[in-house]
Amino acid sequence: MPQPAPTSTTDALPPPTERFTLLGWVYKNLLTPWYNLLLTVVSLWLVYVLLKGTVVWALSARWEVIPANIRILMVGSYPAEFMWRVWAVIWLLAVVVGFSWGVWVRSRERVAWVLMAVPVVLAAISSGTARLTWALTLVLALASWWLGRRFRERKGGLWATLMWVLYFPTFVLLVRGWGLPEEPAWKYTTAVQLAVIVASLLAAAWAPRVSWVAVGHAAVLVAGLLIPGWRGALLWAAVVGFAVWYVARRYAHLQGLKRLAMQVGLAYIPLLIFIFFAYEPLSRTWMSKVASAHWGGLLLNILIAVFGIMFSFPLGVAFALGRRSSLPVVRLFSILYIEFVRGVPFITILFMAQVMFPILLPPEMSIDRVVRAIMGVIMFAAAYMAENVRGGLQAIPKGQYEAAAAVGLNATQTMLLIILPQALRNVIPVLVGQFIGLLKDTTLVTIVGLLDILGVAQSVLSNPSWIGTQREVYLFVALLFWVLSYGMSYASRRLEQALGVGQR
Amino acid sequence: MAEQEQSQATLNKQYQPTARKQSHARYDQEPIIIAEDVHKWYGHFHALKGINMKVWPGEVIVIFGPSGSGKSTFIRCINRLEEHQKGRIVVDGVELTHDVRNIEKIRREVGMVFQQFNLFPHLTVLENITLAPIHVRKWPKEKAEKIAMELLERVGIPDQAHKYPGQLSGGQQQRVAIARALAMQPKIMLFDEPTSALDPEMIKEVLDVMIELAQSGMTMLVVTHEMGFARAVADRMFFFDQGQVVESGTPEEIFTAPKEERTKQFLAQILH
Repeated sequence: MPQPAPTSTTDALPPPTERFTLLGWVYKNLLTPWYNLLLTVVSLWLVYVLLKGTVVWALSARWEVIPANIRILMVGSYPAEFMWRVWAVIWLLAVVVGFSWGVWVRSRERVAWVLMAVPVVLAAISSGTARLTWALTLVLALASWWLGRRFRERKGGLWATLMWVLYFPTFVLLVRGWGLPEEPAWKYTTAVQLAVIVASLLAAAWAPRVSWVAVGHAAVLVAGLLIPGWRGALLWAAVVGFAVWYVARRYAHLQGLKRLAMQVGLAYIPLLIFIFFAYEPLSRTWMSKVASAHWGGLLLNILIAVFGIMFSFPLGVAFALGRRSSLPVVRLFSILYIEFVRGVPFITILFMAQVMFPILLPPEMSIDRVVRAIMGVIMFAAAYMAENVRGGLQAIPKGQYEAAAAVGLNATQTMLLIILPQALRNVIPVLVGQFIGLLKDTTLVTIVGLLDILGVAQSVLSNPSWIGTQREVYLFVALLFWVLSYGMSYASRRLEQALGVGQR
Repeated sequence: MAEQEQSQATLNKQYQPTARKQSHARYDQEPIIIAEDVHKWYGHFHALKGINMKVWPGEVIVIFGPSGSGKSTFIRCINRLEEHQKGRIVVDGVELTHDVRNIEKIRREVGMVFQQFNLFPHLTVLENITLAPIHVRKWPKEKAEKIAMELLERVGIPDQAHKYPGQLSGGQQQRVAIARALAMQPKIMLFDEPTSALDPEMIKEVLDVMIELAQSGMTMLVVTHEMGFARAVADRMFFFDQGQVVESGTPEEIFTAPKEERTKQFLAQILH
């Protein structure tokens, strides 16, 4: 009986491939059969008709309105003699971003070139000194990127994080400046506050007995209550100093803390000298205070958005955890807060912030209008963020909690090390969508009287020499926001890739 | 006798022990786990109806029985993943009560391996293992990583240290879970059906690790259906049914001469 030939066990063959060519695809999908060809022709004609008007207009529009008003669009009525401080903020950003890129981004990405192209493009379209400053931005970014790469193995991550943490207060300090002292003891209180904090850090590193440190902080507290004019400063110093000591002490077993404490203590001396000698003369010249009423334009939008995002994120996480808590008061408060804030329109919150905070606080404490707007933004965003994070938390299987408990982690450690990293990774798209919305919602502060970029745009349009240029101005503003939003969206996709979302 | 030979042959077929069993139980010491009259209710459902058990250091205890009989519930009560409502559980001299500090003390000395592995997916294998020693025992990172690599060698997968759990097979993941539990250097290891979620080819690699662990003198409480494993290393076996210990004894007693009818029925089912 003839047997069928046994199936040959040869090596696996590669699949048959069809070579992809653009012309081939166009021919196959757009030009044959005849109805596709007809549809292609009709679509092309439609596109031409729709775009023709736009393109013709774009070529003949009065684009000079933008360069003529670029300064007020970007920074509102910020005094021209202090513009260098805004540039300093941008340069510092270039340094911090470049350094972080060098430390954390492993491969040479196409995106790096796109990011480097931003200052190049901006230099090309600007003129005069602005061109030089953009070129300097690029140089700084590249230099710090090179530096960051050198630090990759030498705790570069720690330095980069420290730079980011220090960047935001520096940002505020540069933009705001420090004015003439309201009270003669102002600079002394700052110095004393810093002294208390440094002392707490040193105490944590060399860990004296608890009673010692508590007595020290209590003494500062009492001194603050007794000495007139120092109450706020010393109260703050005692509380923050104790917190610093408590937190630092938990990490005292780590070897680096003692060295860090010594370094901070040593660095403090030049800072002290600076505060005593340079504070006042600088406050009258280079770093004099620019009142928040003069912060405007895109600077204001970005300021509100950045601080709004930074503070609403941890607050939102806190409320999400509070809503799932087993403690009834915490749970009730979280639910009430979230449902109340979510039920109210954003503009209402902004109005409430502007109007109600002055009523709620004692008359001698007045909060800056911009700060009130930021607090409104934080309140609003935190409620939505809380629900998004809660959704992410619900997706974590119970086995993760059990495994963490079985291996000895307490509740806080479980949350911080196991649950939140997984939950937050899952909701990155939702959170970033929230942040993008927040950035665009900052334009609503026009309604409460702050002059952001849209407010400036409207005032530009009411200028008689620029009548009729609405399309140019609004298109420019829209383009700006689109670039920023798309940048955030792109960054979030890269972040998801780096964290392996959906893969592990 | 014929059916005994048959069940013996089936046992041999089901699992070939790689070494002869040698007990490391230290009966001269105090029992390390004492469970006295433990009752647990889930709402109105009476899950554990008065469990009494004493486990001596170095013993390997195998708990078996039909599903829903309270086996997993009982061993989860040992490290307080479940709370018992009545009775006393004393682990390593510490009584399990509502006191959180006692619970944390016990959880450091009791390691657990789950049926569903429950590895932390966002951390590498090495980070999974070193997480608890660094944050709970406060070891420096170098010491924790050194011990972790030794454990990975012991369970046979040192080359997987920098992979993520999602990239490993089930057997490898369970071995990582065992290494993670061992990294805390516990005195007792609890196993909740460790091989029930594995393919047959991978069961052997995990059971080999567990046998080696038993032979190194670890006190183990294992809930399993792997009777071959029980025969190889168990010191005593407990048969649970409907929340009660129906019968207990050495593997020889249980397999060759079970006293209770329910035990005989159950063994007949799983040793077909």
